[in-house]
Amino acid sequence: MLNKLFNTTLLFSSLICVVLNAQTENLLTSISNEMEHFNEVATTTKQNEHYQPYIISVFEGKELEKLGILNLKEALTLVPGVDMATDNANTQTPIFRGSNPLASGQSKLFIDGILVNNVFFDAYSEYLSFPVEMIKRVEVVRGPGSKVDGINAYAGSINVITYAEDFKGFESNDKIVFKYGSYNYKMGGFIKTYKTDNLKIFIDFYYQKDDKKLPAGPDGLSQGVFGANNISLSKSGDAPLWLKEYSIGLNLTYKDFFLKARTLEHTQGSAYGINLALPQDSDRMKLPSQYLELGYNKKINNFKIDIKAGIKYDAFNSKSKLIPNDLNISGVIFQDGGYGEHFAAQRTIYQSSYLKYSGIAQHTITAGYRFIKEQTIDMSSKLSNRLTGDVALVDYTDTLAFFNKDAKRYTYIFSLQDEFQLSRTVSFIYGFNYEQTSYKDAGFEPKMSMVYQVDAQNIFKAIYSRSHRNSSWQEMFTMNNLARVGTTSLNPEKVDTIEFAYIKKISSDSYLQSNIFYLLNKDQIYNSSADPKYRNVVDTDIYGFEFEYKGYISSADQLYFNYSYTTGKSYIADENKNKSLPNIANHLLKGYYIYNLNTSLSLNGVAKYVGSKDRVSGDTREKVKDYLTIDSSLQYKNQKYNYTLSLSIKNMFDTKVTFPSPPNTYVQDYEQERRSFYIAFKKEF
Amino acid sequence: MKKNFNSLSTKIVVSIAAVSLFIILVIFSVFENINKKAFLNVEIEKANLIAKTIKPLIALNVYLDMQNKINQIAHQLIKNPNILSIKVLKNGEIINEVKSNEYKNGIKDAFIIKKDIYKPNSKINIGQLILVYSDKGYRELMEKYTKVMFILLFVLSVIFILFSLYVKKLLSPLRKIARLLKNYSPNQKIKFPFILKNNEIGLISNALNNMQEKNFQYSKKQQNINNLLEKKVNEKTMELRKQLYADTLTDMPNRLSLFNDIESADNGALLIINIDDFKEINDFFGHEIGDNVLKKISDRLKNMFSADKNIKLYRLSGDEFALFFIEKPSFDYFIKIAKKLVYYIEKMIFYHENNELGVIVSVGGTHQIQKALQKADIALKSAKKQQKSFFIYDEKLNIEEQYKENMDWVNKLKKAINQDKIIPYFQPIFNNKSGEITSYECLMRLIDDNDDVISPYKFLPIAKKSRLYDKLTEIMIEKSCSHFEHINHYFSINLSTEDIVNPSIVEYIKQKLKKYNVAEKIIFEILESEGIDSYKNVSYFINEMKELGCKIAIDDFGSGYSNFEHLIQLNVDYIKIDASLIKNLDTDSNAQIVVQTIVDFAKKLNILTVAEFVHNEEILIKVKELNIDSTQGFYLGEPLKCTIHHLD
Amino acid sequence: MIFATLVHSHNYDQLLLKAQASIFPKIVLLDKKLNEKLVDGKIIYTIAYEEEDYFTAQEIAKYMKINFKENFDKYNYKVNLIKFSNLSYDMNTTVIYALNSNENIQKVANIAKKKGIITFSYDINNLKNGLLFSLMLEKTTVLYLNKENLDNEKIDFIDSLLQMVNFID
Repeated sequence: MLNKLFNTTLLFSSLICVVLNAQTENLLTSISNEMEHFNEVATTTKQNEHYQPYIISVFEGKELEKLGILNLKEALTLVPGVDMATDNANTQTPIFRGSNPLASGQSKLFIDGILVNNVFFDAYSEYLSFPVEMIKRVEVVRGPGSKVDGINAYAGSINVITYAEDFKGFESNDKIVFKYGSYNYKMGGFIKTYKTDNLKIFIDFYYQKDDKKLPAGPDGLSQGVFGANNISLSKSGDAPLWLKEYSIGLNLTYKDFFLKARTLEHTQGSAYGINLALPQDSDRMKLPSQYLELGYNKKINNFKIDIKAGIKYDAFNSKSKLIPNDLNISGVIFQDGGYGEHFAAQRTIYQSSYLKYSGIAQHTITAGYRFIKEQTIDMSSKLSNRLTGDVALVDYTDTLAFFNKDAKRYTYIFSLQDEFQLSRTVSFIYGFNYEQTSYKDAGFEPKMSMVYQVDAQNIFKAIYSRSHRNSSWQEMFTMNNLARVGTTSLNPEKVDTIEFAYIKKISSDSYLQSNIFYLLNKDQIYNSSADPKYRNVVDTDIYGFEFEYKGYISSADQLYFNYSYTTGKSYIADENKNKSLPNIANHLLKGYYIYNLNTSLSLNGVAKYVGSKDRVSGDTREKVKDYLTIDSSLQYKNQKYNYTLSLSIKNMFDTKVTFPSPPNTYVQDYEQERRSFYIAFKKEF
Repeated sequence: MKKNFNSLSTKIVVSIAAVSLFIILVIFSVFENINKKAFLNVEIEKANLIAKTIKPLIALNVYLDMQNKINQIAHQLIKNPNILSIKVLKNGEIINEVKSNEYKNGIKDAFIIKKDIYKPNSKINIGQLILVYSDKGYRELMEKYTKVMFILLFVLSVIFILFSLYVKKLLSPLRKIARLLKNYSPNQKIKFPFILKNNEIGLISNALNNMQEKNFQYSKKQQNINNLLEKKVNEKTMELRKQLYADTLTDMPNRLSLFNDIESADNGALLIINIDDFKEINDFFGHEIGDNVLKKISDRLKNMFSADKNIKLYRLSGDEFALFFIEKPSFDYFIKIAKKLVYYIEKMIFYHENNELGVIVSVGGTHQIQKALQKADIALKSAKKQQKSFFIYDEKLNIEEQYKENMDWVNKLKKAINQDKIIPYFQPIFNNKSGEITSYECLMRLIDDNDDVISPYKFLPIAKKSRLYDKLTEIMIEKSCSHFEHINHYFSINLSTEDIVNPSIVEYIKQKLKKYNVAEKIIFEILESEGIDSYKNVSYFINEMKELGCKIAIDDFGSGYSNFEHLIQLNVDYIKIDASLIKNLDTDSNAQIVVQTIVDFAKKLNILTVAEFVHNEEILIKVKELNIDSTQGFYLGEPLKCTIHHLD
Repeated sequence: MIFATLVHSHNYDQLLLKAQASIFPKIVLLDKKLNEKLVDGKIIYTIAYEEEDYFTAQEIAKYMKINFKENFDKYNYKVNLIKFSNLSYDMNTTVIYALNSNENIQKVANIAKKKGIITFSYDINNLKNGLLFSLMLEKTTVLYLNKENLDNEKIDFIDSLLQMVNFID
């Protein structure tokens, strides 16, 4: 009876409306489907990031290529608030908004959604050389980021999207690329896609090498790392910073299933030596990385299922001369110096399942878990004879392991998030992560964010989130090391982040964005030469603001720049005093300018200014000097044959760029590249 | 069954009907309420839906200032008979209003839907849409609904009536079966209907039929068993009845039978015959001999009185028989019978392993039927007490006499105590080996006004009742101890259990022992027969005294239920063998056996034995022969006012 | 990536261009008075560009050809590339899709208004200058419509479409 009533009502209401014929209705449906599709693409590619409840910087690979950017590392230096740091092994690490540059693992790197941080350092320096031609897009989230993936980034996360990404109605091009440049840099690579209705296979490959050496020293011996009697053995010279690597990536999609795999064989020079003694040219460190992930994505009505399982191997494999000839340690004289081979391989297994439900009006609820098992699967430690000083290697794996070979950690993460579209102008995301590990837990961590879009031009965002960084393998399991004493009793480092952003959309292609942020870091892990044991002793408050502009001066150009100001103070429990943030540049200014001379030729420039940096408490050296580098490039694109030729000159004015060395290591800061030249050729099919 | 037949089918139908009615009523009333609201809501919803549907369109056109389109929509809308009026306001001003004819004529029942109009895709209010909606639809709907409900009710009622009829019909076979079962008896078979039916009724009929078949078989079997059982029960009842009223040993009626007979008698007389010391026969010769004796006595009694129909014989207990005179005989005849009884039974001789055995009997009687058994009992006890062979109960005489005698004795005792006429006599006890005096037993004597020496068994029971007893004991202790203060001889004092459990007496003893320093010489003679009840106290007393150096003797050992076990535990020094065993020791072989046993036993425990009541030479010889350590008795020395020692 | 090469001139958001090229032609079909606007029975879809955006305009045309083949629904269509400077009151077109231009937007608006031509704009800011529709990729995809420019007797879009759009006053 009731049904009939409603039917008549509906019939009636449709009668009084403009009569829609089936054709019109189809059109309307088709329009809204298109709108939805483009929205999806825009959301996935972060095209509409200004309207989303996170603060993110997106750089298109093509754009970066034009600027002469070589690799991921160089791309990251363009991100507001991001600076670079290095250490004696030259494991370079981006520093986000001044968060603890001494500890790696502050940020996470994802390649096509797969976390690739190695377990050993919780770093990803082996991926920083990822060539920009292989990158479709770099998305950098400053702050803890989304809670959905279940991975707690601490200071920031970087998503590298390769050309494996694909959307309906978009074509994909195959390409080959060659590059050549300073330090005898050679690079070759290609991408290839094979596509049918249900199946898509994508392969990328690259090989690159250089023989980079940069002046360094005097080395750590001068600071007495091997005692006062060995100071005279200290050397200066060229640090081997060479690179040799190749990588193959495979991305396979079949209907709703996908497989992502990559192997990276990365070898680099031993840089400044694991024991801070300048190594030989041929000494090397290998940081291989391999992963394979299987997944299933399915959209059923209002549900979206996302199931993944993966396995990842990474290793730390060093082979180098650790101490110079004639070194005397407690009476044992190493006449021919001392050598060492350190090897630790780690395996990570993970599985995650997420369910997204959008059946409730205005809400999109996502819930799921991620399970991770990290484990050291192999370890060996060989050194020259410590008792006799004999140079021949002795296997100390069982007697003097440099690392706990039984290291293992389980992590369980549950996350829940609701995206609530209150109205067309106001939306919220709120949710939490709950994490348990086999060591100390981070527990419950909430996140809340809001976007208020006043109109098409003015957008406000507010974000609060709490996140953590679990202590890294190195901090937990390092053994028999005078400089590092690992312990598993460390608490996770915690950070509470508050951010506000204002975005002014000037036009479809230009905007202004300013952010202010406040970070409360608690229980930061710290060690020093005085107390080499890792402990949760530092609390740091960081605050600052960022300003970004993207736009154009004329119709033929494009301008982008950002400025960030970061300051704060560290409180080290032992020393019971506040210190200004060490090793952090208060001022960072980056920008680029593209000028299109004509439709096929563009002249581009990149400028980066990094302000001076305070030293670590107790380090009496002068501040780390500020520097300004300017790069320039010229790109020619042949429309007819679809090839591109680029010339670039980096650090045009040969500025001395240094990254700070910790006290009592190398006296001078770690010098970076001077002026260099590159040429790139790319052909698309 | 007939008074109030509650038909199950009626019940089922009525209860289903009641529950259904209740449910229907509830549903009906709830529906009435809910549906009314729901229907109203539906109407409002309808109106809302219309308003909601056209609102965006109106809003769009208001926003775009398209007057003619609004008007067009409004006119289309008013064609709906339920919509009475449409009003569109922009920023508070009416920009369009359309009314139906009905509304113009003034119609009451209607509701108004007001909707704010917003700028498309925003929250900015730009006007209002007001819809007047007739509730005609609602009223029509309600009417329809009520009609449907009544039809439903009617249909349901009809269904129930049909349903109840059907249930009745379904259950009617049960009634038929029940009627048949009413007259059921196991012996008679009923022919059940519906056995072939393939439903529950069929099952019941079949089951009943099977049951009936089995019942029939069973009842037949049962009848046979019952007959047999009845017979057996009768037999057994007879037997039990006989056992209840008869004694199995002698086949005589028992005490219960006598009770009944006395109860039912108007007059009559009773004699009770008791065999003296029958227990000893049992103890010494065994129950078999005892039973044999009893049987023979009963046979004799039966022989004696078989001719006399007035006399009925009973066995009352182990050693007691009774003669009941159904008709009261003359007193003389009664006495004569009693005498005859004693004479003939005592004359009987029984044999056991070449030994001749005789019995002594006492007879008590009453010539009155009231409380005959009690009275005869008293008479029997009196006979025993006065050591007469028979005594006839005479109520008056007996009580008064006894009372007087008691009073006399109390006066005599008081007087004697006051005049210091209670004195100890000393009887020597001789060592059978050396012939020397080993000790003296101190015996209480009362010297009366005639200077007669009176033995205590005459006054001690009365003394015990009159509370003079403690005094007597104290006198004996004081006098005996003081007597032996300077005489270097053992002496013994008799103590009863009453003395031992009396703390003041015990304290008194201790004082005197200390005062006269005789603890090492004194022997306490304790009656063995009394010791059982207050064994603990006795044991305590003995230990206490032995600690002081005193010695302990058990007096009259073998008179009561002699218990060797107790003897061991009491840790005594002497056993004085009871006179009853000694007095015929020379002739009585049984006594010899008993004494021999006691002596052997005592020797093993290092206890010295004393033979009392040795009154002639033959006995003394026997005593010595039996290795008894010491002898006491008239034959060797009577109790005297002073010790022989003194005499010396 | 077909739009990859276009970045040299005006900066066009590749995704936005595609979105507009996919959606705008369908909107045309929702005009109830479309038949009055046909030229020789065809929809003429004019893309107006500045000189330096010629490649962009070309690529759009190419994309539309791939996307729509020969027809917008049941209507034949023809894409017409024309420089802003060549636009005139004499031209016959159903639609003008305006790429970026610093001076010529008003001109497009005037012609369109007079002749009852449906106009689409790449840049939303041009709606203020009198163009009718634009599209933005915001948190969701949003279709913008200039209310003032709807007031034209020759243009009458179905209500359902109007209920979908965001109006700009």
